[in-house]
Amino acid sequence: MRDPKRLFARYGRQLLVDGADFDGQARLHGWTAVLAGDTSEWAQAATEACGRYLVGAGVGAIVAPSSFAAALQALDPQLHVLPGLDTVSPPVAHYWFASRPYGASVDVAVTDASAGYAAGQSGPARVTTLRFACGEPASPEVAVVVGAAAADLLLADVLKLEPLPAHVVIDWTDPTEPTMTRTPRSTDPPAEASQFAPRPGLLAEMRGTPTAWAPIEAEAVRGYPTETCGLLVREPGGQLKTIVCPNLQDRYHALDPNEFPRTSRTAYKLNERVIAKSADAGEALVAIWHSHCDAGAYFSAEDVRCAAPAGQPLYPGVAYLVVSVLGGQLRGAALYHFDPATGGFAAEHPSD
Amino acid sequence: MAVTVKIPTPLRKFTGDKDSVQVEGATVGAALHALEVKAPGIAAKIVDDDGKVRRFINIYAGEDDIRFLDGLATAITDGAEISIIPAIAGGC
Repeated sequence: MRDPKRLFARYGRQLLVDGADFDGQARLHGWTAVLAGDTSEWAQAATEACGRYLVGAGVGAIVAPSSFAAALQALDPQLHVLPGLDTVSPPVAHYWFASRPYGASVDVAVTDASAGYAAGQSGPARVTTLRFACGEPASPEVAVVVGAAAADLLLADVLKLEPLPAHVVIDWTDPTEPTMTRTPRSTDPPAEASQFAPRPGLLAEMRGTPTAWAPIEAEAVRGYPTETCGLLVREPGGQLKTIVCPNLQDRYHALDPNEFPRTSRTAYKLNERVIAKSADAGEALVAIWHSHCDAGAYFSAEDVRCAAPAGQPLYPGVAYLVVSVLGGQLRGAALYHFDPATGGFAAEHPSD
Repeated sequence: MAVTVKIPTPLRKFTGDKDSVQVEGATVGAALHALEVKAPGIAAKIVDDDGKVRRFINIYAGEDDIRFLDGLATAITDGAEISIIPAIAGGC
């Protein structure tokens, strides 16, 4: 944690905003911003501008494309910079951000040079689309304004000044009179998140069950900086229980580095026989969990590839829990369910 | 010799929803061949065109992944249990 006096000195302007105060500044420090844009000059400019505003406001960690990660780091040497996606397309961005709750986080994407697109997320499955319209092709200069607007919307949400809207439209058709229209988010979380078909309740139950949550947290921190893994099962009496499993990835990597190119630093593999033993004890497999080290609690491309290699889940009906360990501290958790409608994995909404 | 092959849920469509199948075979490969005869189409889901166990499938002879034994040539004894289990793996 940064020195509070330094936080005040460098980022004091948020403290001056009515309603922000020290708690708001601390929340900013505890959040992770995620940035991604497509390859267009417009998108890159908007995304970088958004990132610069967020870093300047005092966000604690940021996931950024390699093209400007160093620039953001230069703004704040204490910023936790994590590698992100260098390019995304709008559909990918939508899925990508929908599946990256990061526990407490801010996600922003800006893509599409012609229409303008940004997605912001501050908590699981809350995607905001920011659409931009102007009379001429959007210029990088205008993109900076859009990026800054996206940052402002997200900061207001983090500081709890104004909830993140569901949709934002910036109309710059008249260059002398730009307008911004915000559509409030529905108060019905299931309807809001229906596109990603979350299944309710399990994450909250898990976090509220000491026998389930404490072993995961302890093992994830103990194992850092290697990934840790295990199962979550329901005992015959209905209680959730965590089974911690050794991560065998290094053993497989040593045996066949071509087929298993990753080490336990960035991958996990467990002995699947544990499932049979658990079933013999009358336990039902509910979820498979693993940790990401110095990365968010997102369901990665590798996770998807391993969980549903042919577009169908290898373990139907079983959820996947990902926990994020940054610098040795647990910083987020998210639960993912396979969504037959999309063929992908969707994050469970926290309020479900 | 008779062995029991445990079938995972995604592959039970080939076995008429049975979770295990009794076959004859002296090696894991021979047992899989016998399994294919009883459940046509299942072998292609387990091994690739080169005869290698697919990346996301594990075959356990008893308690051991056959990758750490002799692969499909791993010898099995009468009454042995072969488990075909989808991989649990991933990474950031």
